[in-house]
Amino acid sequence: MTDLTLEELMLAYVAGDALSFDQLYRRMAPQLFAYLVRLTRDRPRAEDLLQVTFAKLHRARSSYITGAPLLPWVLAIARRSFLDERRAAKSRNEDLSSDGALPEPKLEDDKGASDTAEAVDVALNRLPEAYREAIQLTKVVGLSLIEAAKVLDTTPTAVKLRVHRGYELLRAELQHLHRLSA
Amino acid sequence: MISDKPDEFTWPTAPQPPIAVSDAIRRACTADLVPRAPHNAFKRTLVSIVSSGAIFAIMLTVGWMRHPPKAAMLYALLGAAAWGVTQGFVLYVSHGKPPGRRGSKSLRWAALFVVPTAFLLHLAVTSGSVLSFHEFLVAPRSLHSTFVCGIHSLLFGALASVVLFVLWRRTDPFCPKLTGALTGLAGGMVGAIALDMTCANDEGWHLWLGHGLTLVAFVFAGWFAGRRWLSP
Repeated sequence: MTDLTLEELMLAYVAGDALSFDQLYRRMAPQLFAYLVRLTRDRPRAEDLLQVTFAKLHRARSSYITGAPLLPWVLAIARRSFLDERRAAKSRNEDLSSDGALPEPKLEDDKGASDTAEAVDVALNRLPEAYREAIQLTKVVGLSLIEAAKVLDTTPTAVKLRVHRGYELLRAELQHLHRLSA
Repeated sequence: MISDKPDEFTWPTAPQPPIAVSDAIRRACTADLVPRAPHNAFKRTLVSIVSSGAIFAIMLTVGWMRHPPKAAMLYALLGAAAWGVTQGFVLYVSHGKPPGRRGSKSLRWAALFVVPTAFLLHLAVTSGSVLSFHEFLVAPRSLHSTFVCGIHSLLFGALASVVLFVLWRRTDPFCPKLTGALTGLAGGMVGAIALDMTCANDEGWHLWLGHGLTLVAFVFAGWFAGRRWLSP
């Protein structure tokens, strides 16, 4: 079962095999959750969106076309769910804080980000969304440029440019964090 | 992976979702598992072409029973076949391969602009006469017949489009709007082309407004319907 590709597991899941879903979940959920945490910068929202994404996957399983790359397919569903949720949130009445300001998404605390991966994590959260997404998909999730371009509904060249610019900003941000912690 | 950029950073490891969330997802996604047959993009494209062809044939037969073909039967059938091939091409570029493996997006955008433009040009070339717009407006029954043609084109185009949207429902999370617009174009072509083969009126404004404009309307409607229907 572990030798099967994600696409083969999906076909088994479509055919009604619950164990295949378990395998699918084990292999995809961490990457998907990491992507959603990075997008929302808020773990509870990311958990909600993870559930929404898998609910949509379950509902659309009979529409899965054989041969479609599964991880980009599911990441694109997650991204659209995030965009829908954000659009809906914009049209909702927000609860203002006591000083009348709109609540901002909580950023992870950057004090003591001494560990390299932790520092990169904090710095990544500070990047503009387009760069953050491109780096997350290509570097952390491990998609190819073409796959990331499909998920982001853009061209591979645009993804490459975003990753490059994101790198520049990330480097500057890490130097800033390093100075803070020194 | 991006091969020309060295990995200078230690990337954070992916966090595990909470166990309670994972359990809830597993329960929800395995509760009512009914075996389903997997779908194949090419076979479904063929089904789309055949179903559109059937609706086209019905409309053509009904139309020719009321009005005999305006040109020789052979030319009319050749025209229908040519546009049938064009519709097959639109369906192939929009749905012929699995989502995520479909070819160039530029080709799909080009098809979205070139095919309706070519159809409008075809209408201009095949029109017998073109009145001034004022003459068209005041000519007896011209607006009425244009309206009737538009309604027929919309009805049959909508029927074909709904069939196509149902066949491809929830299949494309990548670019559902573009795929929806192409699906609308393919569906709209059924109504617009069959009407063009059967309508006896060959005045230019009548053709553009009654036959051509509906095709453009289907492209726009498909763009919006795609977001809702084609995205999982």
